[in-house]
Amino acid sequence: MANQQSDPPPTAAERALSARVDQLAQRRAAPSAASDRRSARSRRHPAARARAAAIGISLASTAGLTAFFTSTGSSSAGQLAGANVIAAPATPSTLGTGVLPATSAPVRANAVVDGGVFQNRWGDVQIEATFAPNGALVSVTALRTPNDRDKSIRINDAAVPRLNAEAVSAQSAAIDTVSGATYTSADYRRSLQSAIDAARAAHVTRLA
Amino acid sequence: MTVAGYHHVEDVMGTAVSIDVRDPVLGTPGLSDVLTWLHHVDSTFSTYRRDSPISRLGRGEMSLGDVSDEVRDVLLQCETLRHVTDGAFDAFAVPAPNGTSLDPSGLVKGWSIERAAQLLEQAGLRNFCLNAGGDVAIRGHARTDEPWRVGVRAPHDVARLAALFEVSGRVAVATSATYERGAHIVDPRTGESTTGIASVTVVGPDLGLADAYATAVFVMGAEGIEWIGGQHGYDVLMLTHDHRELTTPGFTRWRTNE
Repeated sequence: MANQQSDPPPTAAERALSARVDQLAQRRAAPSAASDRRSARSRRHPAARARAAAIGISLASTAGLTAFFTSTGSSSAGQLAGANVIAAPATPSTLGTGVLPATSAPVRANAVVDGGVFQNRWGDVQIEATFAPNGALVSVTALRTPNDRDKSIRINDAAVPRLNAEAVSAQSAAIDTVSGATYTSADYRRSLQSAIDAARAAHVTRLA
Repeated sequence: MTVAGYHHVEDVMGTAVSIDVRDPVLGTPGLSDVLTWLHHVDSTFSTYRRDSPISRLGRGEMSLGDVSDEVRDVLLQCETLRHVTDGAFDAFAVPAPNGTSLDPSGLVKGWSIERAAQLLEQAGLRNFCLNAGGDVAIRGHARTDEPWRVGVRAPHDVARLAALFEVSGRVAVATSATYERGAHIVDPRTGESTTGIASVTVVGPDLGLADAYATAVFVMGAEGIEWIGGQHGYDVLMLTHDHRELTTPGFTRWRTNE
């Protein structure tokens, strides 16, 4: 009898896994020229941008937006003063948070807020968000999309309406979500988040 | 004040992860747990981060004995998937962004979002949708007694939907495609990029498996339709470059009239 506890014997899958890891080492011993080039030029990960962002964007609360838009509700619909000049963090790690209201507030004027301008490889992305007086996101319009290259025109003209439909899904029963990726969704969402933040920041300013 | 849900988008794992909760909530229950988890997954499994355990394992700076049980379990799942898919899914034989040939991303994205869905359930939530760059985990309903409406992007036109599902309960939808610029899916059996298929969408209960199956079926091509028929509970919609649709017989149960 063994007087020492031993690990259970490896399963077939565990043995196979060990063999695969060993094969990785063999491949490294005889790397191809192509893989040498690839490793020498380490590619940049979008997450590197996120890591650089020290500040996460805090959550926009319905209470905050509701209070703000109620307080400005007597004015007619239009640009929030100062909200279209946005000091959004250049590299937010959090792209957007919205809260869907449970009950509808008395209908007053909508508020229109411009999001920040975000750049990607294909150009600038900026959106304009319209909020209902109860803080709900009503619609999103693209102010700028990448259009300085032929291919980008086709891609982004098409991408933005689809993304709009996603953003306002709370108000539209058409589509709740989409499987399959898009090009500019991250930038679009960053801009949308900054619009939500701007609305919130304006609220804080008015209260102070 | 109770509100009818919350919606958060997080830039993590190299993509935008959307967390869309439709339960009546106070605050944002479950959100911080999910975000902590997703960033943990990113730092552990990313093939874009030089210092992740997966990158270090791929370069031989760590051995299998050095990595956490979590990493080992994921790699074991990858090996099981290689057997099940007869090599069409292989985390050890495709070029990774870090220059190694170890890349479990084809499982990790879906697996981590499935786990995130469990975290939301543990927080008491029953009706929500997680979407990680087009891979979707559904729970419950979108609105009272209304199913979630999940579109599938048309591969050649980002503005069009190729299909629309109405789903409720526990459902995963994963799409593999090469319409992203510069993206490609390598056949681990040949080392060549696959070209025959425009996109593959797998629908079934678990997003980890659905994600890996979508990659495998993409590599298998039309033969993958028959193969996934043997995977209980999973169906596939395959779109070709010449605008043909191939589906498993069970696929119609997921699909709605458009």
